[in-house]
Amino acid sequence: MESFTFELFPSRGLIHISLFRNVTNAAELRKRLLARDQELSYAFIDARVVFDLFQVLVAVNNALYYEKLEKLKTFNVHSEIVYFLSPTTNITESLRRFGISDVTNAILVVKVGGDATDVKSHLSSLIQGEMESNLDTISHFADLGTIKKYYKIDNKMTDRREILECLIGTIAIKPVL
Amino acid sequence: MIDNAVLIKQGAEARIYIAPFLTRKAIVKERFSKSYRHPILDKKLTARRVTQEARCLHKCRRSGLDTPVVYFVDIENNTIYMEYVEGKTVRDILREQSDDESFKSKNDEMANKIGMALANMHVADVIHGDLTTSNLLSRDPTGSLVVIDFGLSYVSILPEDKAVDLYVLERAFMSTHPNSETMFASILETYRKKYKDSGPVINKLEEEAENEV
Repeated sequence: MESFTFELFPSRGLIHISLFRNVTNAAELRKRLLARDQELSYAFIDARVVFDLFQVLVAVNNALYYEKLEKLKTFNVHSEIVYFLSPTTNITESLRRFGISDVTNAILVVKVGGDATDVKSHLSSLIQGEMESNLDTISHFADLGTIKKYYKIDNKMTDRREILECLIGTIAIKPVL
Repeated sequence: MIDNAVLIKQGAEARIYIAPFLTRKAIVKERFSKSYRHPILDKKLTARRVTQEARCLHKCRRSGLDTPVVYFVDIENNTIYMEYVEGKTVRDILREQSDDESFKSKNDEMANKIGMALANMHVADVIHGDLTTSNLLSRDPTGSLVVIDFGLSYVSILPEDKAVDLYVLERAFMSTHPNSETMFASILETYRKKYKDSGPVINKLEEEAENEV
């Protein structure tokens, strides 16, 4: 797990991000999310659609911004993070594509606020899987084909850096489209 | 504003800062309101400008032009956070050169890149609105040609608008870089080759030149 402070939202505290592999209880987690279980106040992201950490940071930044303006489009700041990863404004589709499904086995978790140790131990009890010690392996789970399809990235674009920058821009300008 | 942001430029429309942003280094462009305008109208116009700038920047990038990546649009504070591009302006590069023949081939390469970038931009129907050699950067270390400052940009399919873009750049070349006629001519040559519907644009540009005489 790694924790970040966001320059523009220091009062929101630390933002914790962790990566789990070999997860076996995604279906249960998803069911609890849909039932709005308050214990699950996390953003659960399907790691297949995460290309780079910066992509997630940009989406989190947008979510924190609209939370502060009290203009959230979804239930809470955590679902808003998942929503902002998606390039479209269709909420159901965004959550379905970027959130976890019953068969997801690698999950990226984002938690806004809270104490790092508490978050870590709570997540370990919540998720049946192995927590990665850091986020360096984040791109190992990425499915480039799916990412390109979701972000409508031209197939001719093959340079990884170029793809990353393109999807970052797409996330950043989503609210002003 | 971010705590350790450093002001690097104060223009007529905006202030530019460099600031750390989400693990990267960013350019922060803050447009300020104009006190001579009615406050409500001003808020609307400024917000529209910021939106348009962010959209045009991204539209260009998606179609293969090298522009700063947008990181965040703060619509309440009329501020765009974008990629900090390490590099030199074309203006500085050209000014550092002497009339030495050995620079000729380098300039040909530069002209080629500029022509290609402009073609890409106009194919995407983005009009820059303020093309000067200070708004063109050579990215370190790749040498990729980066177009910056989309503060006056808009989307248009009209050849007239594209011709004005080229005309503005031509004037900028002539006024800041003496003897750059050949370089501008090769920029146009590449532009023409890379942009298959450039015919009407070039015609408009030539009409403009004739009107001047």
